[in-house]
Amino acid sequence: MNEKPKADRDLETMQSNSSRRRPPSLEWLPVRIRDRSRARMIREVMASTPLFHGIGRQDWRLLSNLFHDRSYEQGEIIFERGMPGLGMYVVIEGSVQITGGGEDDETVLATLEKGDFFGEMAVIEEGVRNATASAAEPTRLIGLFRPQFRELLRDRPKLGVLMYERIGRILVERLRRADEFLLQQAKRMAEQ
Amino acid sequence: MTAPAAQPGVTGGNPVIRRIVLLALTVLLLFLLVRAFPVIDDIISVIVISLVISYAMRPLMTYLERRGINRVVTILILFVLFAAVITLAIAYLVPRLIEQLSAIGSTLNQIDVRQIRDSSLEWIEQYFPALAESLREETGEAAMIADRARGIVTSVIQQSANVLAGLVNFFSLLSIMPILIFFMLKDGRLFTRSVVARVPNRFFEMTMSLLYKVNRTIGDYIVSVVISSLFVGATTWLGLSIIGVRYSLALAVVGGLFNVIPFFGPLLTIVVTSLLIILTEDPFVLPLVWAVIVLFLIQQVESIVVKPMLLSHSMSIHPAVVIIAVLIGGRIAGPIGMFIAVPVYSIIHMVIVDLYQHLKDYRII
Repeated sequence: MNEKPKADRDLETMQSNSSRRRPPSLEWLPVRIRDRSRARMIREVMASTPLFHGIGRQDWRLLSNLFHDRSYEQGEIIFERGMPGLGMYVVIEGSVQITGGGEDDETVLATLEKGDFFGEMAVIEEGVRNATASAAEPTRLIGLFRPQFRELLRDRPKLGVLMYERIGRILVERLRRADEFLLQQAKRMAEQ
Repeated sequence: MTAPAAQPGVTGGNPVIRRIVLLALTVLLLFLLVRAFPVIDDIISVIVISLVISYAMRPLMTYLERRGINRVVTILILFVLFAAVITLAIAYLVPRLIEQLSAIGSTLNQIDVRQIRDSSLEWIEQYFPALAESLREETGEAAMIADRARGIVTSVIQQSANVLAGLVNFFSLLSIMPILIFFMLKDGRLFTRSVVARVPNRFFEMTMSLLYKVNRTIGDYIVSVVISSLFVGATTWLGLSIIGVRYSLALAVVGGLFNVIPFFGPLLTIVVTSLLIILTEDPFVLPLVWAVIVLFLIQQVESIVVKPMLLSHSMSIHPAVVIIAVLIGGRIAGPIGMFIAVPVYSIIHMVIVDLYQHLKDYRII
């Protein structure tokens, strides 16, 4: 799930800050400036992910219409293992814990921070979630969901295909890593 | 099962319960407002009609938008098309329809029921003399019933005139419909987003999925009802005109409207057409046989070819439910209520099924 080219130094600084304290509040700013600052911050974080890297301004405007901005309190569940998956999330502020490899398993599989994304399998497939995601601290996420991706594919096929291709590549890369891991495990077992 | 850090109570039951109570109070307030001020009834009707038209326009809007046309321009093109269709209908169809309806009214008034009774009895005496005697005793009563039936038909026509007069008042409200439809088409998605933004995190994905599914289900259903009714209306007009039935346009409108009522709608169309042909055509046997064949074929094509093409899965409603829905619809909203009862029931049924399935899938119940 840690599939991202790391962002620049500023972003890394912001990330390390975010893991220490609550996301900086922009509430004191006038609405227009606040919204603009938020939009800029979202764009910076989103552009640091392989999914949205290098997206043009016009396409970005279309894509940002699909985003759902959600805020979670510490410990709040984002989605649960076994529930129907509807889409993926990108961490904008805060951090997310992915837990559970099996039934009633609360092992922490990964901790995701700013710029990380998770749940992308649900964009492709109508299956159930195979892990539980919860906010490790006050967290802000951008959600992107299957119905809207399908609409995008139908209404703007070029951009839709690009998005699906990128998600496909990410999944292929993860599958390759999983294969390598399994191969190493098999070799180790054979050696023993 | 939950994550170690998971504390589902952080958002807490209280805010959720508060929202549910608020929602219930809003619904209650709306209900009371509707009961207190009948004008709100009209406003709700205008909103519902605008919603139906916007749903019916959506596939065309998507089609044009996919071709790179800006949404506002797309909506304006649709408005021009819609206005052209309405203008053509008013200029060409409505005068003919009014002409045919008033002709039917005056023909029905001129019919001498007793003369029909006598000529029918003569015919029966000629071919089935044994039946004639017993029938002659009972037809006195039958003629009275027929007289009463004619009275009912006349009053129905008068009632229709009253409904039309009511529609004129309603038209003043209709002037805001284009504005409503415009914003429903332009900002429908924004509205959905703003609704979703207020949903608690626990129900967020479920609400998103539910809204999407319900929206698609309602859209598909409305488009299928509109297209299949237009198909039935147009083919009925064409078919009955070809076989030379005089009031083909009026019967086509009846057929299109009745088409929204499953099972009984097509049957009622055949009954009304048959009665009208028997009363107005002379000789009536051949036109009657042809009309029944034509209507039967149209209904078969509609149910075997058109409906399945428009809706991937058809909803089965029990005939008894159809009768109950039509009766309740008639009781609540008169003749219009009878026509929209089954579509409204179908939509509510589909929404409840989707809601139940989602609540189960997301382990809320």
